[in-house]
Order: sequence, then structure tokens, then C-alpha cells
Amino acid sequence: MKIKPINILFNMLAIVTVISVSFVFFNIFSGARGYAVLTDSMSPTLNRGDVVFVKQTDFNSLNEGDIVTVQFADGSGFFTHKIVSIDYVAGAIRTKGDANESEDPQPSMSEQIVGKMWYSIPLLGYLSIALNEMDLVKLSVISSVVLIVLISVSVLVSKFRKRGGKNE
Amino acid sequence: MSKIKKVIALVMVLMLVMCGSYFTLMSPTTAWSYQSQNISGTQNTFVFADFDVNSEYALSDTIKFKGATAFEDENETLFDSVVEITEVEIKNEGGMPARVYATVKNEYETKGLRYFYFTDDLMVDDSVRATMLKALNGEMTEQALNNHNIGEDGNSGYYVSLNPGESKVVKVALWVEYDESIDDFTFADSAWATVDYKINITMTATQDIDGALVR
Repeated sequence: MKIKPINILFNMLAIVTVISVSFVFFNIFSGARGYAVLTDSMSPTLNRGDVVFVKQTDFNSLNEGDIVTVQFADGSGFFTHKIVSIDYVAGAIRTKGDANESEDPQPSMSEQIVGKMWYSIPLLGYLSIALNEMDLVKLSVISSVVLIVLISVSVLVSKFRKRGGKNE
Repeated sequence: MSKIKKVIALVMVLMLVMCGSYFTLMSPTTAWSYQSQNISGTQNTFVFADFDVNSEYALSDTIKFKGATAFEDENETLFDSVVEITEVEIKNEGGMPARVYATVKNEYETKGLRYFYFTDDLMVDDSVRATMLKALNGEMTEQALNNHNIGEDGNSGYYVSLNPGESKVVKVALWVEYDESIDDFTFADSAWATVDYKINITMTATQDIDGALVR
């Protein structure tokens, strides 16, 4: 039996889709939130381009050495660092990046803590980083080029198939 | 390919795009990271990129200050002619917006050293004194200068913002308050007497986020 290339592509697309959708649903239903790592301040544990998944955790169950994602006090962003000390009474933690020489300058309060790191995946965060660092014009141009290429390929395949049908 | 397969393929592509969006639209997580460099009199360019890991350079310089604010110059009209201005070109070669702070330290803790961090955007009448008067609301005190340079909590002072790829020239005006200075620098000196101060100018670039730096 001859295997058509289009069927191979279809099967590959199906496998990639099933894996991707399962992964996304797994994270959504387990309550994990993903964050793209922008800097190497937690290197070698976390590197730029990683995606870190965190789960909400009770403050009293946190321990020194846990890696947590914390929202800046002014709500302007997030950082992910390791806990170096905990004040359970005051509800505050002090954090430090593995690659940084000193602790972060300010303590973080329990209400700023988004969650504790569950697991991380390398490289996946570059999608988010690229979008954040790319300006709107570049993004529009790239999207347009991709769209034109896709339409052209589709038209060419369609013509090729019609011609092939006539020859048969 | 059958019509059903085509529809399924289209649905799969849509689902993949949605999965891609899930990863693409994730919030970035960053850190309080920064990059510092001490600037000497000859090295006047501070280039930084993304603040992956903090790093510091230890360079210092000796500045010969003139007999500042001339002893018979009650209205400090000579201030602009004796003030030392160090210009530093700062360049953001990273991929994220940054802000740059400046701190001046006096290595031997000699008394009377003052500084004022500014850019030409603040400049009034080409005069550092007039610029300071405006920036400090006429309050020419050490406390007002400290608040301008580093802020009340050491974390809210004057800074210059730079977008990725941008460069600017920043200035640090340095002078000595003669009535606080070391013994060598006395009222007996002429207006153009000099005194050596060993200083460190530290430029620190951090992410353009509030709460990012404490000095």
C-alpha cells in the first residue's frame, strides 16, 4: 500500500495537536500557572527562555529553599526566586536569585506570592519572550508574510493536484 | 483528502494556534537584577544589556576641585565655573527598557563632597546652579540633594530611562562645600586653589520597574 505524504502530515499534525492540547489542559485543570523566565538570575536552576509552572501553596507550608513566583508590590510584574528565610509570624519571605550575590532588596509579603514552582520546561518561554520584545510593526509584518506563504502554498498544491488529476 | 479529514485538519490547526497562544501570552517572570559600573574620569561609557546577573567594576578617580564657590563669592556666582561635570554616555543594548541611577562615593570620606545627577532635559539657562535650584525647588540643602540623587529610601532618586537600543548622555556635577571640606582647603586659599578628592561614580542599570534597587 502506498502511503501518501499528505496522510503522513495529517498524522503528524494529529500527534502534535493531541500532545499540545493534553499538556495545556493538564496545566489548566491542575491549577498551574505558567511564566516565561526572562533573565538568568536563577541560573543554573532556571534559565532565560524556560517556562516555570507554579501552583498556589499555603504560606505556612512554604520552606526555605522553595522557589516561588512573587508579584511585585506595585503589581507591575512577577519574579521567581528562591526563599532564603521565612517569617511565618509577619507573613513575609526574603528571596534570592541563585546567580545573584545578594538577597533581593526587599522582603515579599504572603499576599504577593503567586505560588511555588511545580516544574519547569526549557526553551518554551521564548515564544512569550519574542512576543514581548517584538514591536507591533515587526509582528504584523511577520504574520503577513506567514499568511501569504501559507496561502501561496495552498494555491500551488491545489493547482498541482488539479493538473495531476487531468494527467491521470 | 476527504472533506472530513480537511475539517479535522482545520480544527487541529486551530487548536494548535490556541495552544501556541497559551504559551505566547504567558506573563514573563523576571527578577530584581541589575548591572553596575564605576566610572572613572577616562572611562565615560556605560554599556549594558539584559541584567542577567549583577556585576560590578571597581574604578576610581581623583578629581582636583577648584576652590569651589569662591570664598568671597557670597552669591555663588562662580559656582558654574568651578563645578566639575563628568559626562557619561549610557547605552542600553539589551532587549528590555531600563533605568540608570548614579551614586557618588567619597573613598576617603573627606568632607564636603556634593554631587547632582542630571541630564540636559533638566538644564535651565545652561547653568548647573539654576538647574539645581529648579530641581530642588530652591532648597539647596544636603538633604534635598540626597533626595534628588538617591531618594528618601535610597530607591526613588533621579533616574534616566532608556528603551532597548537607546543611548543618552548623563551628567554628574561634583563640587565641594568649602565650609565642610578638609583642613587643606581653607578660607585662606584663593578662589582657584585645588584639593584632591578620591571619588567613585557608580552607574547602576536596572529594569524599568519600581522597587528594583536599593543602595
